[in-house]
Amino acid sequence: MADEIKTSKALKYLGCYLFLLPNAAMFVTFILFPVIFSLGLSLFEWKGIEISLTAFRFVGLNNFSGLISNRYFWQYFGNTCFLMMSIPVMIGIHLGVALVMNRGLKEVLAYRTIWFLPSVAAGVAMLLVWAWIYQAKGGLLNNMLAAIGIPGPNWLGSAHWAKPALMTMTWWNSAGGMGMILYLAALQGVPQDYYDAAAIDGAGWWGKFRHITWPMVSPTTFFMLITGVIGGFQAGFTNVYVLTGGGPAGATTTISYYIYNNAYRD
Amino acid sequence: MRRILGNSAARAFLILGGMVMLLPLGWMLTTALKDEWTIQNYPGKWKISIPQTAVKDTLLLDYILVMNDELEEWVLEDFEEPVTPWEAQGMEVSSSAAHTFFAGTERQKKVEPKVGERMLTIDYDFTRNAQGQWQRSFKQPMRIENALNMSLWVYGNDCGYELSLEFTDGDRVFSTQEPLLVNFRGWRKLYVAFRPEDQYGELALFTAHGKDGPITFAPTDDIHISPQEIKFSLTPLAYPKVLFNKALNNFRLVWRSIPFGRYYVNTLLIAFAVTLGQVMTSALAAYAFARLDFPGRDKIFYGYLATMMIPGAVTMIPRFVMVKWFGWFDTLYALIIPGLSTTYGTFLLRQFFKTLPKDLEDAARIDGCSLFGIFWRIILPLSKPALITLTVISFMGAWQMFLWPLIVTKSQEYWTLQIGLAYMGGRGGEMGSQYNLIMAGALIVLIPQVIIFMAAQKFFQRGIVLSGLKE
Repeated sequence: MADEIKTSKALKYLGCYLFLLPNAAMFVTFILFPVIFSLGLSLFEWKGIEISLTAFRFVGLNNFSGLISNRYFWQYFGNTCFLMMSIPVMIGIHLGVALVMNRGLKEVLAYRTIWFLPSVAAGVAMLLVWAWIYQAKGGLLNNMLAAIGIPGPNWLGSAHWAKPALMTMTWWNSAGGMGMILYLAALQGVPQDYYDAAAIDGAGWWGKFRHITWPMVSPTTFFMLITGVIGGFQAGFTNVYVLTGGGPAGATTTISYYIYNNAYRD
Repeated sequence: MRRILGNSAARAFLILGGMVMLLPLGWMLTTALKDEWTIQNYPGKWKISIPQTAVKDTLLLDYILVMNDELEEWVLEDFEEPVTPWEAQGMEVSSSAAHTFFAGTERQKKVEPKVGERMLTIDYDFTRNAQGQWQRSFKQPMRIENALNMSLWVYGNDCGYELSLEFTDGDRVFSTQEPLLVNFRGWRKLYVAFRPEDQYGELALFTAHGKDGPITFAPTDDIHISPQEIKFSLTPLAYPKVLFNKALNNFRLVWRSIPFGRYYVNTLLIAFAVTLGQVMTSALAAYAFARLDFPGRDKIFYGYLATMMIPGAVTMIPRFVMVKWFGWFDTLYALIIPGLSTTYGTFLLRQFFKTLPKDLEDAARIDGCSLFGIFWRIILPLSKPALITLTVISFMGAWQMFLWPLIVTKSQEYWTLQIGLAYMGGRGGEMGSQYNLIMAGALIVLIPQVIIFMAAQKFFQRGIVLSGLKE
């Protein structure tokens, strides 16, 4: 009897594991193993990409000290951080746009669709459009500046302007995108009673925002900040690859572009 | 009163912002319809030049060249003889010096002809003759070995024409398979290839006829030519064909020189396979995590969660090495198989499954339904919103992935749309700064994408909300 229960239990567990198997197998192979491998690899010197015992040499933390003393690494790390500074601004834009969208205008769906369009169009195609907008000669931005008599710089080719240009592009790309939709959903979840009560207490627009809206949407803010920072380290590859190639003089080389250049280019 | 004021301000802001959102897209669209001439003249203009039907004007022709397989160019005719040996029917041709013609004419600076150099001016009046021809014969034919293509320098005047070319060489007659299109402004070199293999981009093709019918040249054949008689004929394009022709010109050119069809097939294949795989594996695992009870469940789940925080760049190199190791480098496998599961999707579905009522499952279990039966017949139908969300997210992710395809593929055959587009128009790309062509290529990629994603927008927006707030 006990044996029977044991086998039936084992069978049941087997079924459970079968559900997990396809996903877990892929997970172990393509995520878990690479993570461990990567961590382990950071302690070794590795010649080439052949897998053999002689190709590896244990060097302890030497790789890290090498990286830390590498001047370029810090420049690229700085670039990545600088580009990530656009995240708080972006969150601000998202919240601002969501607040305006949330006013209950009749035709809000049309606005939402148009503002969301850049997110729908995202990809290399849109980056090429921006390359053309930022083009020094004949680009849209410099055309517009020329119309009011300002000679525009070579946006992507100047160490001074390349990073702001990339950041502006990112803002345009996502101003009315996913972050805004998230905030909109969060705002719609704030009970109207709170505002009514605040109004009775004589709270103004700022007071309502400061004491009701902001705390109520803070989980969303937190979520976007976290995903933004995680994404920020790996993002900034495609943009850089297509638009600037890390230049000029490394002014837009991000960590991920640096990794790509070091590991795959040659 | 304040409310109305606030609403108007909001409206103004949203409309203005909406215009900013649409501006780059509009710039892309108009650029794709412009010609090279407009693109290269500063400052750029929004206006698209509308081509005219040719009525009475002048075209210029300078140099007829033949290139051999060592890429040497032979001048067949440079129109330098003051008394032109060319005869015309239906129009007038004459050899004239460049400076007399160009006095006061707008022209492209890049290929400015040397002052004093002569060229053929072709004066036509299509109100009198519907088409015109001009030809000459060579008394001492030039012999060119291993000919690759023939090229002509033509100065277009932004009307639309079809230009056919034919030359005889003994018994053989070479004629353009399809007429060359002259629908541009300024100087341009038009090419005609002798073999289909050498034809790409804007290149037209010669077909050869002998006494006994058509002649086909194998890739290994050497084509020796010595043109004895050469003949051109010019026909104007009528409205609306001329407009249509010009509007589609950039698209046709890009489509011919870049294998977008191949990229589409690859991208769709990858996106479908990856989406299907991700939704299936995630749903199965999510069900196990959400509903089944087995030893180690929570530990495994936390393992999943922990890796979600690790940036993809960390695992990129080992994954690349593994792909090489499996022999998948530069195949579609490398693009599909590593993407078949997703921790994020598993997490998303698990959160959703957790919210489903348990009663139905219990009832089904009492009725003797198997685990898989419950999953398939009860859980999945109830989870449509979450499944659609994951489908859309996976599809978008696969469609837009860039770094991974960039490092695991080498041959153009396996490229995706994003890679192909970057290669065409990105930094140091194939098309240089011919932004009219680049924008046409971008539109070719973007239009289906926008249609797909617009159709899914409702689900997509709901999906974002669902995935963001269940954290």
